[in-house]
Order: sequence, then C-alpha cells, then structure tokens
Amino acid sequence: MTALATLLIALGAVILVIAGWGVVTLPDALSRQHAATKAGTLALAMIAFGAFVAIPADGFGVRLALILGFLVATLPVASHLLARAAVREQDIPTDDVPRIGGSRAPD
Amino acid sequence: MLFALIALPFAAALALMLAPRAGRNLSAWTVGLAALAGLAILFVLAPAVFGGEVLRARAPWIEAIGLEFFIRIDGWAWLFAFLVLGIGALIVLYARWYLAPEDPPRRFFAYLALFMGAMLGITLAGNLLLLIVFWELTSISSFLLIGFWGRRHEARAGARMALAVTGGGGLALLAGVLVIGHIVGSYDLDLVLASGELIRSHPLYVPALVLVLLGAFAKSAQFPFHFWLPHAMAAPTPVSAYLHSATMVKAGVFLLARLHPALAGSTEWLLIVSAIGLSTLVLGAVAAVFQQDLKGLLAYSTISHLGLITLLFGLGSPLAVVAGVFHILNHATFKASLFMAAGIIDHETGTRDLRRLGGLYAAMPITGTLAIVASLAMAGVPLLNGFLSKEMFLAETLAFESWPSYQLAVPVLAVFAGICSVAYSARFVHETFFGPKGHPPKTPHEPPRLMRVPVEILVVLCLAVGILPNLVVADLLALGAGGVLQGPLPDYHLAIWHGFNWPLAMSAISLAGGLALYAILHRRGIARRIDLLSRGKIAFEGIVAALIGLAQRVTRTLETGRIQGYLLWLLAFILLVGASPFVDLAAPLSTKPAQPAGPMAVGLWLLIVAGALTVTVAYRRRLVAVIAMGIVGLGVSLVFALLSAPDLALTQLLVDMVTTVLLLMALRYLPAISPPEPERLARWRDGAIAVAAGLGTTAIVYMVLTRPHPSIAEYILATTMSEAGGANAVNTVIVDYRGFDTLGEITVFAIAGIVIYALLDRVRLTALTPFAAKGPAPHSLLLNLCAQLILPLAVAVSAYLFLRGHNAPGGGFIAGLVLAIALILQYIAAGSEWVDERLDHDWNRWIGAGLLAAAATGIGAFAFAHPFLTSSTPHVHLPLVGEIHLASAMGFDTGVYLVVFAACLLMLAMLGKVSRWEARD
Repeated sequence: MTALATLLIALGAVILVIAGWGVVTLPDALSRQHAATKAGTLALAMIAFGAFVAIPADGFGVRLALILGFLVATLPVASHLLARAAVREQDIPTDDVPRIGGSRAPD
Repeated sequence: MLFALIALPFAAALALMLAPRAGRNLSAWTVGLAALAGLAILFVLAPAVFGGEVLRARAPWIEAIGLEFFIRIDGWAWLFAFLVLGIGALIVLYARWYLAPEDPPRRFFAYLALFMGAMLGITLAGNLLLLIVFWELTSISSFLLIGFWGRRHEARAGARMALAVTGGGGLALLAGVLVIGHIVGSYDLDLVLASGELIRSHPLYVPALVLVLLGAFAKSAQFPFHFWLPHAMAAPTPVSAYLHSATMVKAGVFLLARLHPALAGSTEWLLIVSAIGLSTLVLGAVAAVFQQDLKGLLAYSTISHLGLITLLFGLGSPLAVVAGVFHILNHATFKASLFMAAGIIDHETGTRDLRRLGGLYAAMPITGTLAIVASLAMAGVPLLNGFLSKEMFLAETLAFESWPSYQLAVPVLAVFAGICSVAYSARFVHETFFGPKGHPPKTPHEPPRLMRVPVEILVVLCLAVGILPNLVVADLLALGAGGVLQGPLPDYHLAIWHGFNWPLAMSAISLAGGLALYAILHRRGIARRIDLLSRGKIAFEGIVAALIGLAQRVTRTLETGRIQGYLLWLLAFILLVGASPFVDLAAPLSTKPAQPAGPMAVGLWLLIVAGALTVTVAYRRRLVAVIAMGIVGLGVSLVFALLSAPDLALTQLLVDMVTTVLLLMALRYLPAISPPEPERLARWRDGAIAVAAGLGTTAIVYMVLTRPHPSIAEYILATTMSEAGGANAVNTVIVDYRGFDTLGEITVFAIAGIVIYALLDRVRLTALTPFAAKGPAPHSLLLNLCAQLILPLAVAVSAYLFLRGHNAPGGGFIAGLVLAIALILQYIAAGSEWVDERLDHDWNRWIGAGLLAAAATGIGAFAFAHPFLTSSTPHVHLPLVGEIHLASAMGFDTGVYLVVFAACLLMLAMLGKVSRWEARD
C-alpha cells in the first residue's frame, strides 16, 4: 500500500505548490482566496489520506479524521473573513453576491 | 511580668487602631490605663530594683544575627521608665483636653501609645540590636505625631526633617552597635557593660564611638544636628511636651548614660562629647533669647539644656554623671510643665507669638503662677529643682581638669549660657503675662480644670524637689546614678545651701546678668525685631532639593519613553555581562562532533530565518512585521515538535497565537507605517549590537548543546514519578522542582495584567489605521457559528489538558491559554460588547485568586512542618470513582491556570473597552 500512499502525498504536495504559485501570481485578493483555500484544503486532505494509508497504527485514523474535520471547518471560515476584509478595504461592489438571510449578531 | 510592661502600650495602640470608633474619652482612658498599669508594675518591681537587683527576662527572636528579646531592668532603666510612664500618664490627661473636636482622637492616642511603648523599649532593652529596633520605632512614631496635622505644610516639612535626621542618626547608631558587637562578641548589654576596658583598647574604638555618638547627637538635637527640633514644634503641644522635651530627645543622652561604662573614660569621649555639649549649650541659649514663638523659645531652651547634660556626661567624672542624671529628671519635670503651659496659652488665646501676647496674668492668674514657677526652675532660681542640678553642674565645670584654655572656657561659657537662660526665662514670663495687653485672636481665660492638673502636679514636684531634695528625690537619684555607673557612687550631698562658694557666685552672676540683659533687650525692643535664620533648615532643604534634582536628571536620561531606548540599554548590558566569559576562553567551543541535520530541520531553519529577515526588512509596515513574527513563532513550535517536546510545542504555539492577536488588536491605534529611523549612525549601532547579541546567544547555545556534561535532567527524570507524583517531567519541574520560580513568574504576569488594566482604564484612543475608518465589520454568521461550536469543545479540551498535565503533556499554563484563545475567538466573532455583557467578571480578582491559590498551596506545607512549596502525593479514595492519585501541586497548577487565563482575558477586555470608547467618538 505504500505506492498508493506515496502517490496521494505526492499529489497533495503538487497541488500545494500550484496553490502557492496561484497565490503569488493571481491578480487580486478574491482570486487569491480561491487558490489558497480550495486548493490548499484539497491538498491537505490528500496528504492526510496518504498518511492514513501509509501508517496503519491504532487510533491514528481517528486522529487524522479529526484533523481533517477541523481543517474543513476552519479553513473556509478563515477564507471567508479574509475575503470580507478585502471587499471592505478595496470597496469591491458586492451587489451581485447572494446573501444568507439576515446576517446579524446572535442574540 | 516584665514582658507585660513592654507589651501594655503596644496593646493599647493595637486596640485603638482596631476599634472602629472611639471618642476622646475612650481613647484617652485606654492609653492612660496602659500607662498607669505600667506604673503599677514598676512599683511592684521597685523593692527588688531598689535593693540592687537587676531584673531580666529573655525570649529568643532572631538568633542567627544575635537579636534577642531581652528585657533588663536595673536602676537606670527603672528610673527612666518611671519618667516615661509618669509623664506619659499626665500628657494623656492633658491631651484629652487639648485636642480640638475635629482632630481624630483614636489615631492620636494610638500613635502616642505606640511611641510610649517604643520609648519603654529603648529604656528596658537588654540587647543592643533590640534597642535599635525600638530606637527606629520612636523615630517613626515621632514622624507620625509631628505630621499629625497633615494638612499644614510646616507640619509635613517638620516631620520629614525630623525623620531624615533622626533616621540618619539611627543608621549611624546601627553601624556603631555592629562594631561594638564585633568587638565584644555579643550584643548582650550585660556583656557590653562589663567589657569597657576591652572596647576602649580596641583599634576600632574610635569609629564605634563616633558612630554611636552620631546617633545619640542626632536624636538629642545636639549641634550640628539640632535644627530639626524647632521645626518639630509644628506638632500638637502634647506631642512637643512629651516627645520633644521630656522623653524622645532624652533618648540620646539616655544612651550616653547607658553606654557610659562601655565607652566613656577616654580622651576622645571627653573631647568630642564635652565640646559638642558645650557648643550646643551656648548656641541653644543664645538662640532662645531671640525667638518669637513660645514653643520655639522652649525648643531652643531644650536644646541648650540637653547640651548641658551632654557636657556633663562628657566631663566624665562620677559626680558629673550624678549631676547629669539629676538634671535629666529635673529638666523633664519643668520643661514638660512649661510646654503644657504654652499649650494652654495657645489653646486659650489662639496664638503663640510673643509679639502678640501680653498682660495675660490678669486673665489667667493660676496658669500664670504655674508657668512663672516653672520658668524660675528653668532659670535656676533657688528653692526649685533647677537650681540644685545647676549648682552641681557649675561645681563640676569648676572641678574639670584639662588643657588650661579649655579648662577656663568651660565655666566661663557655662556662666554665659546661664545668663542667657535667665534672660529667656525672664522674657518668657514678662512678655506673656505682664506688660501691656496684647492682641490675641481669642479672649483669654483660664483653661478647664483637668487640663491644668498635669501642670500643677509637675510644678509641685519642682517645688518639692527644690525645697526638700533629700526627702523626695535622693533615693531615686542614687538608684539612677548607680545604674549608670555600674559601680560605687561618689560622695555627694544634696542640699540647698553649701556655703559661700564659687558655684553660688556663678549662679548669682547668671541671675543678675540675665535680668540685666533682658532689661536692655526689652527696653530697646531688640529681641522682638530680630528674626534668626535657621541655617540648618536651609542646608537640609538645599540637600534634599539637590538630591531630588539629581534623581530627576538621571531618570530623564534613562526613561525616554521610547521602548527602543530601553531595549538598547538592556541588550548592551546583556552583551557586557555575557561577553565576559568569552574573553579568555581556553577550551574549544565544542567537544562533541555535530550531528547531520535532516531535511526537516534545514527546512524549518530556512522558514524561521526567512521570517526573521522579513521582520527586519519590512519592519516599517507593521502588519507585515507582526505576521512575519507569528510565522517565526510557528516555526519555533514546529522545531519543538520535531525534537519531541510536546509541552513546549503546545506552549509556544498558544503563546504565539495570543501574542499575535493582542498585537494586532493594539496595532489599530498605531499608524500603519512606522516613521523611518532618523539617523544612519543609530541604525549601524543598533544593528551591530543586535548582531553581536545574536551571535553571542548562538555561541552559548551551541556550546551547551555540544559539550556533554552531567546535568540535573537525570535526577529529575529518576525522581519525577516517585517524589513528585507525576510522569510529565516538564510539568513537575514547573510546579514542583522549580515551583518558587514559577510563583515569581506568575506574579510578574499578574502584575503585567494589572498594569495594562491601570494603563488602559478610561483611556480614549483614536484608531489610526485607515481600515478602521470603515467602522465595525458586519457580523458574520459563519464565524459566529464556528465560535459557538468551538467554545464548549475548547472548555472540555482545556479541562482535559489541565487534569492530565501532571502525567502527560498539558498543564495549567497550556490549559489556561486554550480557554483564553477560545474566548478570544468569541470576542472577534461577536464583538467585545456582547461578550462583556455575558462575561462580566472582575478579572483582577481572578488574578488575585490564582496567586492566592498558588501561595496557599505553598504555605499549606507549613502545616506539616515542611518548607514552603513542599508537595505531597496522597492517594485519595473517592466513593464512586475509585482511588485517585492526587498531587498537591495540583493546587499550584490551579493558581497558574487562573492567573494566565484571567490575565489574558483582562488584556482582552481592556482592549475591547478601548475600542468601544473609540467607536463612540
């Protein structure tokens, strides 16, 4: 199974490099978010799967699943906040962006 | 019983301080009863002491330095204690009537009792170090009493001056006592008094003598330290009557008498003590003639009389000592009554100024008579006690043998001082009670009956001693003088009439000359017009101002307000200290060959270096710099993970997170781009210092890593389970092996939190980043949901990390930070207002609770007779859960947890408040 693991991890690394190249070369903040978050999360997920396949240790799978869960839960939120900051700073018009119903502070 | 004697006044003081409310009567009764009880104890002890016995009571205190709580009552101590308590009781009675309704009586009488106890302590101390303790206590209580009317400027200035001078003297005295202790080998008074010959023949005798004399002269207001006493007259009159005429200023001459067997008898003693005494005698007498303030006149007169006593002790012959003891008693009696009379005049007329008083005899006949009799005693008129001791004094000056010029000067100057003393006594009496009526603010009348009683008692004593000395005072005098001399008494005879001899002639000359002098001065009105300059005060204030100016200049140079300056000083100093071992380094830097670094290590190294370089290059763009610093922190935590140090990695990670967040929050109030460095030279200098410090640190770390040496790690790893009860060595080092260190660190952390609170409380700052002009961000549902989900998980994780900390990676610090970060997320998500509404705690109290928990854990070890912070690991059997292996260090860890968590939250809450103030603008 090490071949599969090596393949997954290598693929994840390649996607990470592409993501990095995208962050450097893409023109504006919002597009850079695409590169960093989507590609980054995918790459990390692949590396995690690869590690899971490579090391058949007890409880390792649970830990990796937790790590992956936290990554998926927090990376998009971080990206959302950065995008929001970029929109506010550069006054990018957002009239055509669909909104979630009534964004206000919880009571 | 001896301990009770000392304890009574202190008990009274304590009772008064603790009592919530006590009026004049209750306070006066408390202290008065303490004084009377003390007198009763003295009377009970009297037969033994009069029989020649020395009473002793000992209790150990700090044996390591030779300090013992040793009460020793011999004749001299008994006599002086009788003086202190007797006059104290009278003063209490007087003060009860003197205090104005708006003066807080509880505080006044508590300070008075404190002083009484301290003075008793000086008198009864049998250990020289114990005497010093009480000596300083009298300085402090005198300071409190002089400054009692704290709103008046001259009271505060006078109190400060008195404390500085007598305190400085106390330091010199301590040094002298230490030398004497070194010579004799012990501070025990019995031993010291028996080692007179040893002390006098030792090479360190002169330094010891000079130091002790400095202390005694400062306290007894001898030249050149006399200037504080007239300024201490800003105190309420009972204080002046008690401290600054009868007891505290006598402490110096008491000490001279007490140490007479040990130090006196040498030429140095004779010269120094008699010369200073003589100059003080003359100086005080002359100055007293030209005072305009009643109390000032009496103050300078006190200085002069103390000079007389000092001169007598300086002359050194046993008869002079007897005369000195006698004059101490007499002076206390008549001077206290004179001060009280002056206080009565001040109380009833509203002024103490001699230029505004006059013709009071008609309005206050009884007080006037009492004051006149006491002044006659001061002047040395026959049939009063002052005359007797003055006669003895004059006889001694004539019997004195030394260099011819000095031998002649002493009696001549003594007569001159006598002339002046008659003159100022006459002035006191005449310008206050006779002559044209003055213009006092209030209409004078006799004071309340009980206020006069103390004066009456003292004046009657003056008369009694003066008329029938052998009956009244001979035994007391023999007792005191015997205690001073510690040996047989000389032959003397107390009588009013010794026949026509030189002392009588000198007294007559003084009397006649003094009256004549006063008549001349009064007719020409000279005395009223001259205002003497207090040179001592000018010098003192000048020195104080110069010191303050110097301190301010030094502070201005070092405290520039720029953090870069402080960092520069810090790093330069560290360089200096750290570079010294490298100067002559003989051994090679490393003795172990270096291991090859794996690709991981090299990669991390590159990451950290890149981050650090980014900070240095892009430092002006603050946001970039902070983020790069965060990257450096992350890199370091990865290095820790690589080297298998999970605790360290966790801690570094969490601290990095919190620091970055707080920095970013604070960056709002700084401009986005920092100003450029002004000078190129400064940049090169700073760069050089930074590079040198960095290289030095690298060299040290390299040497530590590549020179194998036995370290404490083996011991800790071996004993961590068995003795500290935890498998996690890092945690047991923090809370157990080096627990005291950690206690200090959390204290510093707590202080930092509280300082931030103090700095940011009610501060209004404008956000300077251009981004802030957009106003607050709209709430993000995604973020809120995320934060709400994470918070309970974080609480669970924090508890888990805390509980497992002793045996697995975790611990109070890490757990506290985890919870703090979860709450930071809440702040960011919902805004500080929302969170503060729900989490409205006084974080300062939590910080305090944490520190208390840590300290209590340490102190708890005392209950089991172990030193501070000894930990134990009991096995506790809980009913349902089973057996738990606890460690008492858990309590300490709880303290760490609370402090860390609360301090982080405090900083966060304060920054949040500042941002809310800013939003309101």
